[in-house]
Amino acid sequence: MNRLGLWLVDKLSLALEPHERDAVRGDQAELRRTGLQAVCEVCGLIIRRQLQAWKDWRPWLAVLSGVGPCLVLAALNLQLAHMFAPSSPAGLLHWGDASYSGLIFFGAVLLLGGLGSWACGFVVSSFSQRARVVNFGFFFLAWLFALTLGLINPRFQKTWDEQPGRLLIAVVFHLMWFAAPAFAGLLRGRKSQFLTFSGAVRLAALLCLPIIATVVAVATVDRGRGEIGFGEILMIAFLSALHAWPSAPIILRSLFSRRIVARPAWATGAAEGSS
Amino acid sequence: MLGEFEYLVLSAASRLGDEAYGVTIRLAIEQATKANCSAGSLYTTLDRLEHKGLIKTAMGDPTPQRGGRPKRMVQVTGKGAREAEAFYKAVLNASRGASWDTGNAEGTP
Repeated sequence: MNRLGLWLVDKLSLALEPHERDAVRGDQAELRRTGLQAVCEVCGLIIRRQLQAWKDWRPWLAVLSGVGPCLVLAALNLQLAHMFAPSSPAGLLHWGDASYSGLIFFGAVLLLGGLGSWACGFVVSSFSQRARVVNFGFFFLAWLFALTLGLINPRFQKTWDEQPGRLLIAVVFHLMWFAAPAFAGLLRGRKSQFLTFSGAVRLAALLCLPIIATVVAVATVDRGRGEIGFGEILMIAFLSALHAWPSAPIILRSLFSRRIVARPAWATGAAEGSS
Repeated sequence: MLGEFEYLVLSAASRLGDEAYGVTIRLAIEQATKANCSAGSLYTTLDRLEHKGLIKTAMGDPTPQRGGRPKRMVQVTGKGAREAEAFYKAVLNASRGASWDTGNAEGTP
């Protein structure tokens, strides 16, 4: 097997379970497969595994609770980043001048954006260990779609023409408060499938708190002016609830985690002596 | 009821005994059917058979010949042997009286 083939097979086979990766790579070494043959074999196995994984309900739940909200949250986060971004980095120092309710709203946005996207990433990664290649792809495409749709928005185009610094700050904000936490969530979910029950409840509480704060802050800001109607507040509550939605399956999973046995005994190194 | 490929895997594993693992099973199937047996179809079938309780698999020791990687050893369970036997009998029964079941297949139309 040439070096390029070896490198490609090494990278591709990361999509397989560790024990299966070892067995298949060992078989290929024993059969002295060429680079192309080995790549085709590993690709064939990955495709079969991915198709097989989608017969289960978990990848679908990951799409519903992770990828779907990711699309909306990414777009919303970008819009909010655009709304809040100052025209220059020096403007960041003047955020302290904002009103009390404005600060609450901004804090809620930070918390919701960060934790909500983390929860989305965690759900996508942890609920679909076997289908994670496809789900990672869906997640990335959903984010890319929201980002592209946001950036080609006429309002963004206008800002880009008039205040490019402001748009840059908005994008950096989005990367810091959406993309980075989502990526951290993906990595965390890859490492371990479950959160402890108390951890899951804390996450849900932290996500629900800003929902209440957001609605209260918006209602306070608008008090007496009558510009924001009940419908708008309801919409804000709905979008906020969307941030909290991924925490629901995380809580349920942590509750039932002990009943799920994902791997055969020998894959966890406990084969000897077990009945 | 077993699938035909499942039956081929079970028969190969049963015949190979302690030497049944990925490579030997693939070679045995390819020799018997004169057709290519892919790693994808073999490993997904092994998982399915194990899930049904028809085989047991375990990781063997790593060998230098395999680049220091272990083999996935396969062992047919009692249930697996019974299912395979039932499939074999069903195929024999189904084939009885068919034009190719003449006892001397060579030269017959």
